[in-house]
This record gives sequence, structure tokens and C-alpha cells, in this order.
Amino acid sequence: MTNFLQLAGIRLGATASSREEAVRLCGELLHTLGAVNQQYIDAMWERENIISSYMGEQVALPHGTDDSRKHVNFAQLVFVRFSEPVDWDGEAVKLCIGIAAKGDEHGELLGNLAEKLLDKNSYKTLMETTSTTELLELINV
Amino acid sequence: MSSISGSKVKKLVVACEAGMGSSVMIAKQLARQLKAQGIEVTHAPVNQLADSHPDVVLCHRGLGGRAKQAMPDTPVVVFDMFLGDPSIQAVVDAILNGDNISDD
Repeated sequence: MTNFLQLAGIRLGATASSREEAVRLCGELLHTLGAVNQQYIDAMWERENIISSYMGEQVALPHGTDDSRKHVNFAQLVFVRFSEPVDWDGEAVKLCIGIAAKGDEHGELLGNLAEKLLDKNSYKTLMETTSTTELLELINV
Repeated sequence: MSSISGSKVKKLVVACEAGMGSSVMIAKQLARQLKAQGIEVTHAPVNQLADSHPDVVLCHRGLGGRAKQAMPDTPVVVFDMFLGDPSIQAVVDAILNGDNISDD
């Protein structure tokens, strides 16, 4: 399977003083990896203002608008974990999984991720492990 | 208000804004849970819902109004949480048990 998450796409102990800063941090990282054009970062914040990307369990999944798919070069995920919770319109977010996709190519991975977020053991790993190898193996299955 | 018997549902569509994140995640989870029943689960942007011909629409509360406007005769079930929302589970249970699904 394609590795949608790569080592350079993982940030542990990140800091953000606001939801916007957190979303843009994910966008910048996707941009640094070459997965998206600069315009996609603004589209991520635009999307966030239409509906919050907060998923529950202290996790948010920021991504762009439908229209901004044209700014995606290749499908990619970034994993950004914060040392302190970020205020997400009243919710606390400790983990952002930023998404860039052209189509549904990352669908199976997101389905797996949902199961992992709902499983106590793998949830703990996602939120606490300092092993990037472990995170890569857990997410890229 | 619209309703349908869970036993008649052949296609569930998760409505979304972009169809890149949360709705994909929910659609994949539901597809796995309802695979044995042969039910198709997809996701579609709210402005393209009619083209996807759903028997039941699921969407986040923030999109509920737009989804209902697009699909006035189809049950539109809204949820608040993307992970483990009881409204989503209730739709799965209704399909498995043949109970009524409505959006009143």
C-alpha cells in the first residue's frame, strides 16, 4: 500500500496558540512535503470555518475544500501532535491529522484510522508514543 | 419529515462539504459494518446529493439544513460527533433489525 504518511510528515511536541495556527501548521507541512500548493493552506482554514474538522477524542482532521483539490499534487497525510491542547472552538485538540487528497485514494486508510482511534490500545499509542516508526506502522497499514 | 424501513435501505450516503476527511472516514466504517447486508455506502458533497440517489442521508448537524433542502423526500439523519455518535449507530441498528429510520 502507498505510504500516505512519511517520517518527514510527523511532528511531535508541536505548539500552536490557536486553531488557525494549528490548521496552518498542518498545511505548511503538507506544502513542505510538496503534496499541496500554497493556496491549499488557505483552503484548509476556509474549510475549517464551514464546519469544524474536530472528530472527537481530542483529534481533528483538517483538510481543504472540495474546490481546493486542484491544489493537491499527491495524496498525503501529516501527523501533528501538540504538547499542550489547542482550543478548537471549545473542544481540546491534541492531535491533528492533516489531509490532502485528489480523490478517494486515502479512503481505506481513513477507515482504518477510525478503528484505531476507537480502540483503547492503539489510541494510546497515537496520543502518547514517541516512536515515529511505531506511528508510521500503525497509520500506513 | 421523511422515513424509510431499514429493510428497504440499499444505499447510504454521507453528505459532506469536501469529501476528503470525516465523511470518508464515516462512510468507510459504515461500509464495513454493512458489507454483509450488501448495502452501498458512499459520500457526496451536499450539492451533489441528488445525483447519488441515497435511500438515507447522514450528515453533520452543521450541514443538516442544506442536506434536507437538497433531499426533501429522503430521511436526513444528523449527527454531532464523527467518532462513535449514537445517531449513526442507530441507523446501523435500524438497518440490521429492519426498524424505521426517520428524520423527525
